[in-house]
Amino acid sequence: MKKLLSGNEAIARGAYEAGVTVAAAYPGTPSTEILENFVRYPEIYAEWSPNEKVALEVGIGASIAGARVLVAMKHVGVNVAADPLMTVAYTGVNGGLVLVSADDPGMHSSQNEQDNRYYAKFAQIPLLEPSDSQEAKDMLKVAYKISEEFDTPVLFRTTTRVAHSQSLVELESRQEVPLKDYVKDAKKYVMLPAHARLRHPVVEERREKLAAYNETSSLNRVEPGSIKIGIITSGIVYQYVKEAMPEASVLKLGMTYPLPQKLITDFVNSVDTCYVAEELEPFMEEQIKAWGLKVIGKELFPRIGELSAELIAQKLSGQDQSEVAAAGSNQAEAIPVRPPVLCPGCPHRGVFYTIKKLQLKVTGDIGCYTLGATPPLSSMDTCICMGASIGNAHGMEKARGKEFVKNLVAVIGDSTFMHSGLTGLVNVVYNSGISTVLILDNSTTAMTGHQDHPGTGLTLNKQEAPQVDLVALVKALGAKRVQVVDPYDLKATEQAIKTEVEAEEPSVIIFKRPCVLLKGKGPKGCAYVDSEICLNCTECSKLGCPALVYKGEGYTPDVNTTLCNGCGLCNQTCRYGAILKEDSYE
Amino acid sequence: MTYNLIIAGVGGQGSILASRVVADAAIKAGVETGESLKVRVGETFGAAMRGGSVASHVRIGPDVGGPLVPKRGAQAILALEPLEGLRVGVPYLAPGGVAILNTSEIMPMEVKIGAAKYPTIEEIKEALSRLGGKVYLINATDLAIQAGNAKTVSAVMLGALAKLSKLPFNVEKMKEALKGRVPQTTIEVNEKAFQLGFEAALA
Repeated sequence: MKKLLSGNEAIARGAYEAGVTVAAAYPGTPSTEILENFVRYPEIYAEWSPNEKVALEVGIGASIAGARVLVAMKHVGVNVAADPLMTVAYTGVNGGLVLVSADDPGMHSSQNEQDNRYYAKFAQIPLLEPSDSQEAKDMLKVAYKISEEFDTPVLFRTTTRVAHSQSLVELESRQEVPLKDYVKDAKKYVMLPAHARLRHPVVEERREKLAAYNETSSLNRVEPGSIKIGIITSGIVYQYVKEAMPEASVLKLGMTYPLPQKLITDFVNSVDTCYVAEELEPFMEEQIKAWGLKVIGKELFPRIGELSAELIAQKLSGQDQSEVAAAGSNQAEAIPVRPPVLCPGCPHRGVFYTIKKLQLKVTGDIGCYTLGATPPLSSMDTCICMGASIGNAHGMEKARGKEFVKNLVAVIGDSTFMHSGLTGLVNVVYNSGISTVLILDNSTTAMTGHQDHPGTGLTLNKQEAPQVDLVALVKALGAKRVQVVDPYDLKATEQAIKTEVEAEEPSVIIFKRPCVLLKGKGPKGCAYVDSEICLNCTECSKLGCPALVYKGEGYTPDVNTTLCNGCGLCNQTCRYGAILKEDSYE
Repeated sequence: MTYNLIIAGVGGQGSILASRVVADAAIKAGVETGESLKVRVGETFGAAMRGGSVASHVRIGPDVGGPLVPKRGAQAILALEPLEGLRVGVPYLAPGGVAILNTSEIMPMEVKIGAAKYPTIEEIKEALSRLGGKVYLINATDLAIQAGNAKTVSAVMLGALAKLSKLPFNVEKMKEALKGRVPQTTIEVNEKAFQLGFEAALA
């Protein structure tokens, strides 16, 4: 039976069919739906871990205990998990262990577009790259065989276009894989220096064996065509190559580390001109050129952003596509952009409105609230990575002194605080900082689509779980000034922030309000404008609420009643009382 | 021959749902006729929930290639919001392709704060016509309200698409697929919306 599945759904299905029994992840676009799909398969225990490092550590434990395991994360998540990754590369596995890295060329939803294939080379572990959903499922099953046969974790790398595009997949039944025996083996799993020195040569030998395996692996194939042009490619770029250059000879590599030297050499020698088509970095190209083979890669293709069929056709055929491009580009400049914005009724809006009003500096973090950086709120000075806001604020204080941070706040979400904010806050307390930390607690991981975390009281499967008490937690970390404020109350919000930034010690304000999109948790009612009272002062427009629309010369506000959630913020911004609220509005 | 369609809209309007309906219809049709009809849907929905631009690429045919429709390669653009139709239409609409636009506008923040100007419907129509496309305007939001639920805009637009574009499958397949994708309680209102869109496209 064939089914239309996204790459992420296919990976979950592949894990199911491969007999996986444990899975762990922290949500991150474009990887999130992999774990969400495990809810369909009760045979697999799946959890949201508080961050990617913990997820991989859970995975390693389960593997050593004998289970087949899948761990998933977005590309930057692997940075967080890099510590256990580099050493599990030494210990190897017991049950098969696959780490899915979902990369984001083009940065559709990420802070950078790092090429995680280098992690495979860095850790010296095999790297698999599927190019569509069927391959994602099939190759994942091969990944478990490789993992167990070669005693290694496997890096399974997708990109946004594989993870989030859907294609037909043939479903097969699950193969139950019994737990492997658990045997205490300190020399293999306790990485004391003396043991690690024994393991490093094993890693080197393993790489040689994997390279030999890859020479004849069914994961790679030559698709013979014209001998004039040969193209070496992998992942989604294979699809672009086939579409752009149907006549070319293609070497499609499914396993891209360690690369098969003989297979590649034979292919390069079989064509007049050989190209390497890969997104982002010259990962394969550098190795191929190091072998002395003549190929063309990044001389032609950009290192930045995504490739496409047109781009490949244009670069390889020298075909002039400028006419096509020009037809679009002139007009495209005139089209107003529509980036994502904070939703109507978003509990973050009042906090950023207040920050803007008080003209504070903001060290920001990763989540919906990063949108506080966009106009008209425009209230963010930094956003680096998960959890960075608190460390950044502390660093600014240490560089420029206490007075400098008396008009600065660190802003971090509840899920991000659980992920990696705790250590930042401990550091502020420990090193006598005075940072003011605003935890925007909307009771979910909203940006990635409402995943639970240790603070929500629910697990991945929506089972009840002990709920972290944020107030008790931050107090335990040593912050003495802690208060909880409703961000729908602008007066209280302003008062709390004003007081705490002045305080000569660390303080935490927890702005608590559930995400407005959480079912049954939103406010009720709808705002309306009394145009007879309104003086067109435009103060309400500073909220940047999508439900407020402004018409005509006089800039008179009106409320889009289908968008308004009745959060009541605009009512509070109006000093003339021109914005009212209909509580019974449905 | 691959049938390339792009469904564009603003996050929350239902463009992703609409792309699923078209894909389901194609699969149903392929299974029944025994054709080796392949389907591929490509999109980025990281921004989908927060009112950003969303575009779903749907490709149907014996050999569909990659997840994205080539530039100037879309036989049909279905836009749930006119500006999004322009945004997608300019690079992707094929010469001779059809662009079906819901005329109900949603202003981006940039326009609201006066930093940019929203083009008129006439300007949008003009720009897409200049690319060699046939442009159809439908007030899908009004029709959706008429059907009984403002959220059925995507069903209205699918009805119009079924009428105005040469789909590689029968219109009945689309109706079946729509039924299968919308919440049980809204089947009737969605069917009505689909029909209103289909009829409006006739006029």
